Amino acid sequence: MGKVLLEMKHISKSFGAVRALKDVSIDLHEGEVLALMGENGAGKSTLMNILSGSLLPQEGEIYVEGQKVSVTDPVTAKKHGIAKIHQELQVVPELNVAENIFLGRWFKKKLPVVDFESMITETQKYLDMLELDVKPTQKVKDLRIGEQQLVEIAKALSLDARILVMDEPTSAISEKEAEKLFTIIRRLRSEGRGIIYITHRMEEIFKIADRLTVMRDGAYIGTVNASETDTDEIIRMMVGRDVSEQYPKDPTEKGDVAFEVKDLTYTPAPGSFRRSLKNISLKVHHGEVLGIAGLAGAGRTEFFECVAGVHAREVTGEIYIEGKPVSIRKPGDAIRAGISFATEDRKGSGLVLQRSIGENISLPLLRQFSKYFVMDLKNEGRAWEEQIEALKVKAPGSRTLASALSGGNQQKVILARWLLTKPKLLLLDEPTRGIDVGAKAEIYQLINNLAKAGMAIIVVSSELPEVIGISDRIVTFCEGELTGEFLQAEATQEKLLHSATK
Amino acid sequence: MREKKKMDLGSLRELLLIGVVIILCIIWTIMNPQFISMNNVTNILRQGSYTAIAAVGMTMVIIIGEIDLSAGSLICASGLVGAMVCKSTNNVVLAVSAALLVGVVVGGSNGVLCAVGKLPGFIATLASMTVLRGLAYIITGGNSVVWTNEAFTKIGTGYVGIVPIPVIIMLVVIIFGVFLTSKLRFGRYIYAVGGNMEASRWSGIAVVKVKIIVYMIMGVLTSIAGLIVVTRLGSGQPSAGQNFEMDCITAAVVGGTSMSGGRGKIIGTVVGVLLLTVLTNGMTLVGINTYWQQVFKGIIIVVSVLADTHTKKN
Amino acid sequence: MKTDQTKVLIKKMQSVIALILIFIVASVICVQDGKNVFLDARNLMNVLRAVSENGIIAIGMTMILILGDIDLSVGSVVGLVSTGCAALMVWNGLGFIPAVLASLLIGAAFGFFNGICITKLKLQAFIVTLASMNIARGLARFWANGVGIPLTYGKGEGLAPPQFEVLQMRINGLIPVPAIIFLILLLIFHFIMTRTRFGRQLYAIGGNRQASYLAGINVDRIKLFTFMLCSMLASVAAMIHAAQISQGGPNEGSGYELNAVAACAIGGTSLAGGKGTMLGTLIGALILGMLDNVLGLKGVNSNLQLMVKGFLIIIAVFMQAERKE
Repeated sequence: MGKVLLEMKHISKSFGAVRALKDVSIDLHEGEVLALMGENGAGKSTLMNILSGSLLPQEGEIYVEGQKVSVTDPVTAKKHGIAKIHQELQVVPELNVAENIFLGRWFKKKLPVVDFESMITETQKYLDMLELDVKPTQKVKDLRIGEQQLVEIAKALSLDARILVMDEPTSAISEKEAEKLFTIIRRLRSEGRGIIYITHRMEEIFKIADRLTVMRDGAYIGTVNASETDTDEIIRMMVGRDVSEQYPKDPTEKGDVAFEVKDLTYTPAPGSFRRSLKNISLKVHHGEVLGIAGLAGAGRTEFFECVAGVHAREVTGEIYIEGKPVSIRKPGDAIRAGISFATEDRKGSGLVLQRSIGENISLPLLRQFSKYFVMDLKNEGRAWEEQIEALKVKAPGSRTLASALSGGNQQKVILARWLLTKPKLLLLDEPTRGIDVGAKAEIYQLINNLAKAGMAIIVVSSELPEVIGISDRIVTFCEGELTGEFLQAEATQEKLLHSATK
Repeated sequence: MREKKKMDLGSLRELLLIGVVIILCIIWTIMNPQFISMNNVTNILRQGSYTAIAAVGMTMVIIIGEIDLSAGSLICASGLVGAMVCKSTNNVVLAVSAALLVGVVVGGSNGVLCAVGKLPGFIATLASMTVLRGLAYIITGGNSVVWTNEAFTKIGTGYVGIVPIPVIIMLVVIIFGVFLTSKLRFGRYIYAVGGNMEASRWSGIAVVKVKIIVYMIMGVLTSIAGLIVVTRLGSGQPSAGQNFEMDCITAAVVGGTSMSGGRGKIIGTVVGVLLLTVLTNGMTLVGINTYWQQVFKGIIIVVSVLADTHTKKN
Repeated sequence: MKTDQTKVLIKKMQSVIALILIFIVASVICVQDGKNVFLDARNLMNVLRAVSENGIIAIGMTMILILGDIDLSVGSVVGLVSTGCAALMVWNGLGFIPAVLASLLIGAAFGFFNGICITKLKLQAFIVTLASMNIARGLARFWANGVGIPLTYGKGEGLAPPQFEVLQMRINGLIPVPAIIFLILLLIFHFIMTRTRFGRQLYAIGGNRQASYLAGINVDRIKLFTFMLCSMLASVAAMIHAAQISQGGPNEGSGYELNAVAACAIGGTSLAGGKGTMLGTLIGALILGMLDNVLGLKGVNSNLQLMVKGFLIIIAVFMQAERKE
């Protein structure tokens, strides 16, 4: 093992009353890939944001090669040789690939004139390295999401950093592109650099990681060598208990067909980043949980959006609810037909953050709770209290602002909203992303109970164990097409992954 | 393939606008041959010059995702300061420097309020617009300011050969603007900050500094425009320049600059100014009621942004 | 914990506190010859009257800003409608009710134009209303041929219906009618914003457009309707304005849009949308009006008043800005 490159000691960070990091220490050696593991909300991103200078810790110290450093902003981080690939895309859509890769460090000639030529040559080098088939002069907004992510990776590589943080770099790229990335990571490792790699994909860990550090609920749990551990142990460390009890799944009575879609085809408007869908046909029964597995960008979210009436103009196909054809031209039609869609992006398309929990809950049902345009506050308030209690939303009251809640409770508010519409079909897009273990278990239990009560549910999740654990039946999507179908009993992670990457 | 198509569409917009300008010119010439006379062409250029100068700055402000409502008040205030300094010292250099200094200070304070104070640009510049207008009346006591120095008057009325001095200044400013936004590092930072402020901050671009400097450039350019306006009029008026900011914004928008930031070109704005000036000038020449001219201006704005969203879609 | 709550409360109430402070200071400094010229009933009513035009426009602007949009055309609509209603009454001999209805219709038409361009053609509110600001002003000047149309009341050719004069009267010679109209409208819209479906939908759309759309709210229809309401409120202000100055003028109302935005901003409405209240806007309008009145009473130059107003806007919005740690 090389000498110690980086040490983060006793890091603590709170956001208001929430303690995001509690006395966390990690170290990284030269020529090593350290996988940082933990569930969403475990504090990995917060820790890495502190390392890259976008957050300041309340306590703790950072040492680079034994020297104590203070990383106050992204610029000083770079100065100490720390670079980071962000989970969320950090590109400027209107600038071209070369300008994005060298954002903030554009080459200049003698005057402060940008030296586009040498920038383009240099960019081409990194694009070749990643075998990325785009031109340095192409505007980033014209690239696919996966290509944009590779541009992000090229940007981090070009920084020539000694400590490289990669936060889920493979979430939107194909397997082939990921293999390329691993080759590059191995080369960087052999050059003596240190890489901190965050991912949720177990198989990646065993491919490239040397050691793993596991975090849970903002605390350091432990570090193991990749060669001396297995998936079960890692998961046990991550969730703090055995895997078997994680998914409460009771056998349910499968009823009649609740929802059927035939030949759903979606052709997005040109220039849109959305994935097109080809001839998707599937059925869900009352009391059944259908899981959809697939990589990000496979068209899973688009499928939900189409069913919920978001892209009505660009969609063809037939939708049946309990055997009757329904016409869905806008989200309101879908809600009336008994289809409710809880989006993945809680802050972006889910909650009105500046308004109260209650107002968020009754958002789709304003008509039902009003008489002649005037809100029936008594009736509405009762419904709020009932929902908050039913879903165990932890909040001072129904008038608390949605922005004041934790991720798990925000998710519960969204679920409360859509359950209040009494849907026949519930669409859940990544219902457990970014929420803590406790809340996750509650949501699994809730899905289970709803299915028992006869609701048809479709769940999209990127976490394969989760899909397998909570679904009766699983279908896989790949590049906008339905590529496989499995019963829970026959589904394994390997089979699903294989089917989702055809 | 894809890339080539996009590039074509990008410049298509400017070509389209130039086409509209040419068609307009032909129509006006047929209706009144006077339109194409040397005299009138010079006139059009001179009319457009000060709007173009300030609109170059406004384009940068809009690209960075902000707005400047104080341009109208500043064009007046900077002209007044120039006129007063010229009146009391009879020194042109001093007068010009004083006017430009006003621009730097006002632009700088707008930028600081916006970037450091985190106020929305709309509110910050709305406030400085009100403050400046009040100041303009106070320092003049509501009276006009006149001077005797001939050289100062030349800024707005003089010629080099047959080319009016304001037109030369305009050309210099346009070249400066195009060069800055397309070639200079700083210029590309403007697009980066306007396109994705977070990403820019992550990449170590001094977002605050870039914003302040853009507002300062806007201030200086507006002051230059103010000097031209005041010397053309021959006296400093505390009521001058009302709604001037809207003309600049209109030109930028007609020229394809997006109000949501990150997108726009100086050349587009210049063509926008040309279009609006040719439109007004021609309508006056062929005898269209001035009241209708304003209505047409409104329609032009809607049509041009409509065309923009349409080209974007396809 | 307790201090936190007090802090929040102070932040919430800061515009009220500012209003009260200005009121107290005004009451103290405006004593002339042993008489308090500010605390005089008639003067206070003057403040209310002066506030009412801006206040009525600001009611509409508040809703627009809550949506996250802006309406720059209200000032020009004031010019157009004040010209229009005067022309219709004086030149075309329209009665009181038809003239009022026609005025509201003009406003609604402009709101409809703005709304359609924004929702159906997907243009930005700033641009669209900048355009309609030009169009309305041009039409107003064309209609009146560039000059004001004086209003003289009576029956017969060239005279405005006497009912219109009510808009500039005072009940008991003290309470101005415009102020009553303003306060009634304010109460109505306060009710609408806090208790009705429409109000709920406005806040939801402004706070998160996509979430509202997914929850089945007809975003486009609500936006269209709000822009129509805003322009119609501007029409009401225009009629009051015409009655107050006894003439309809095509150049009236210029800059009113910015005054309205200022009142909203001082009252705590966010330009980013989703946040704002009618009571806040009332307070914002009162602060602006009271400041004008006091500075006027103290004989402060009206241009200095402009400056003070500018600084006030900055301070008010600066105080309300939510800062991260």
